[in-house]
Formats: sequence, structure tokens, C-alpha cells
Amino acid sequence: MKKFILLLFITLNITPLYAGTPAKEIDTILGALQEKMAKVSTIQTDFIQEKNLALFKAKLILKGKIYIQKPGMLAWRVFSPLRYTLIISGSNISQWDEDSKAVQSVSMARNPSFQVAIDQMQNWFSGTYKAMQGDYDINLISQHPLKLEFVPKEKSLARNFIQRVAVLFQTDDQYIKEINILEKSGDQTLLKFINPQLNQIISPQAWEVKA
Amino acid sequence: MITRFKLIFLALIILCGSGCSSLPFKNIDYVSLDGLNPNALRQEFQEQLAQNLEIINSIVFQYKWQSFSALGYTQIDLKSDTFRVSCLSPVGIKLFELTGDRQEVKPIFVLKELLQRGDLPRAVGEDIRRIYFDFTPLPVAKIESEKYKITFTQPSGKGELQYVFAGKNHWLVEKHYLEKKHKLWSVYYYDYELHNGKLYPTNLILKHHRFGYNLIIRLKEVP
Repeated sequence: MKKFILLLFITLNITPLYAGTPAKEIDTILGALQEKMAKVSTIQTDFIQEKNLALFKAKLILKGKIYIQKPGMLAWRVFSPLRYTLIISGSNISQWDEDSKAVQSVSMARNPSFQVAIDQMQNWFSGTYKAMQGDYDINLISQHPLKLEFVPKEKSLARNFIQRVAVLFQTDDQYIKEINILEKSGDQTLLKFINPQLNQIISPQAWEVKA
Repeated sequence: MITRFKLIFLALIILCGSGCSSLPFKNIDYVSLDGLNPNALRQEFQEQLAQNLEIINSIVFQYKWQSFSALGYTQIDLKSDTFRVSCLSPVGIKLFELTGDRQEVKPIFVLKELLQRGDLPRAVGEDIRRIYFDFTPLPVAKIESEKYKITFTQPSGKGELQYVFAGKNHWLVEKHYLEKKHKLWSVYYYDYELHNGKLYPTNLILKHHRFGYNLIIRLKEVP
């Protein structure tokens, strides 16, 4: 099920400049990063998700907005090509889209596999990358701006689907700028965070499932 | 059908959904087709229709009172009767990807959870063929002209395909498959758009009368 959410963050083909970064150095970098990102309690950011499907010539581009409020709240709003909302609040998940006009809810307690997927999503977004060292070899691609590459370990479930994930951070390292995933299938997804606002009060409307 | 519903339903991780099935598109404005030559109409439609469609659609699957949505990136070649499709959740998670033709479907990727629960590739392939293949009637089709519509009927498999042309543009608005005079499925084409001088169906509904589900498809982009 891990692959299910990993497919969310799709990719670029990035050659590691510092493949095999010493573990101690990576530990230091991840520790500092985790500390900085821990100071972020809310994030609201526009996003562009470019999916380059190996089967087709053109890209599928999704645009929208993401809201995160720690702990445990996430709103994922897609504006095009389809208006859609996913709201996660603790163990409750609800979603809506303009075409079905249906609001649907998912009980996390009754869907343990989805719980795993959500945990993965929150790991990527919250910056708790140290916890991901069990599943990924992490390499430093560049220090300024900070860019890390995550390569699934041999026994990791993600290895069945993902070649590598590259995460580029904003210049102040406080938050993610881009997540790129290269899949084994040859598909690539680039998730760009545009104009992120950190530690700002999020409007209550952001948590309303209907657009 | 229950299995089919479950497997797609799980793909989107939706439970306890609700939805309504009121008609989502504007009805066809029927106009008098008096004096139109059915064969010329059929020929004209065929010439206008895009023969190689590469499209991004939204897809709503409705079954009883429940519904969910997905995005489909689809390429259909009407000349060679081949298709390729990737289906994704609205957050961009790939659910399945396959290629096919008139005879077979080759899965490229299907979520493991879906594979365990039924033959999704076959089901998707059949629906794509119903909607996009045999888009125009054959020259040998039997013709019935009425004031507001022209119907072509031709043999197909164990039954027959029925095409209804109507509206101010007198394009294809309905396609039905019947066996022993009973409709098994229908496709309603509510609207078309011109892209690069060729016609693309933009708003359509597949109603599977036997299995009781609907697919509502909207064209979002021609990449």
C-alpha cells in the first residue's frame, strides 16, 4: 500500500551528484531539516502537479492548493482539470468533486491500508525524513539549494514502483519547493509548491469539503 | 456486476458515498430533419469526426445511489480500432493503465488491490469500445427516417447496433445495443466540440441497462 501514496509524488530523472553520501553527514542534514520543518505549524500553498505518463506524449497537469495544519489536518484542493477536494482531519477523510457532486467519507479506522497511505503522505509533507531512512537510501544532491534524493532500499515495497524521489527545498530550507518522482514504469511526476505561506492562520473555509 | 463495482470503488478508496443521478447535461434540441439524405448525413458526420482522439476526460461512475470520479487520459485510433488509457484519481494517483483493440486488452498497470478483485481491464476495454468504436453506422445499415431523427440499424455480435442522429447539427446523439429487442446498453452523446477542425464528443453518458451502472464522461482537455 505504500506504493499507493508514493505514486502521488511523481518525478524527474535526476542523476545523483553525491551518490552514497556518508550516513553521518545525511543524519546531520536530516536532523537540521527536521528541526526547521518542525517549527512550521501551518502551510498553505498553490501547487502544480505535472504527470508525464510514459504511454502518452503530452503531460497531464493538475493545479490546486494544499493546506496543512499540524497535527493531522490536510486539505488537497484540485482546481483543474477537475474541481476536487480531499480533506483529512485526524482519522476522518472526506472528499468531493464537481462532477459527481457527491461528498464521500472514509473511516480511517475501517480502512487500515488508507491509514498507511496517509501516514506516508504526512511523512513527506511534515519533513520527518529521518524516519524514512529504513526504507530509503538518502543522498545529498546539492546543499544550496538543499536537494535530497531518496532511493528505495532493496527490501522496500516502494522499490517495486519507484526508482527515486528527489526533494528540492526552498532557499531557507523551511519547506519543500518540489518533489519529483521517477517511477519504474517510466512515468514521471513533478509536484511544485508555489507561493507557500508558512505559519499563517488558515481560513476555516479551507476545511470545507465542498468547493 | 457487484464485483466490478467493488473493484473500481476500492480503487478510489471511497466508502459510504452518496450521489444523485439527475441528468447532468442539456437535452438535445430536436429539429425537423425533413429533406435530409441519411447517407449524406452519415458520410458528413464520419468525415467531421476526429479519427485519432487524444483526450483528458473526467469520468463519473454511478451505481445505484453511489458515485465517484476519476480522470482518464485516453488515446483512441478509430481507424485501427486501438486504444490506450491511463486512469487516475483526482489527486493524481494512477489506478490502472492499459492498451487494447477490438479483440483484446493488455494491462500495463493495475493496482494490486484491483487485480485481486476481478477483471478490471476487460470491463474498461468493453466500455471504451462501446463508447468510441463503431462510431458511425455502416453503409449497409437499415435506415428509418422520422421527422426529428434518423435511425440506422446494423447487425452486431448477437444483436444489433442502433444509431440515432438528431439535433440542429444532426450528429450522432444516441447509440444502443440490443439483443432480442432489449436494450443492453446505450450511449448518449450530448455535445461535441471542434478541435483542429475535427469533432470530439464532449459530454456523454454510457448507461448499462443490464448491469445498472452509468458512466458520465466530460471532455476536459485535448492536449
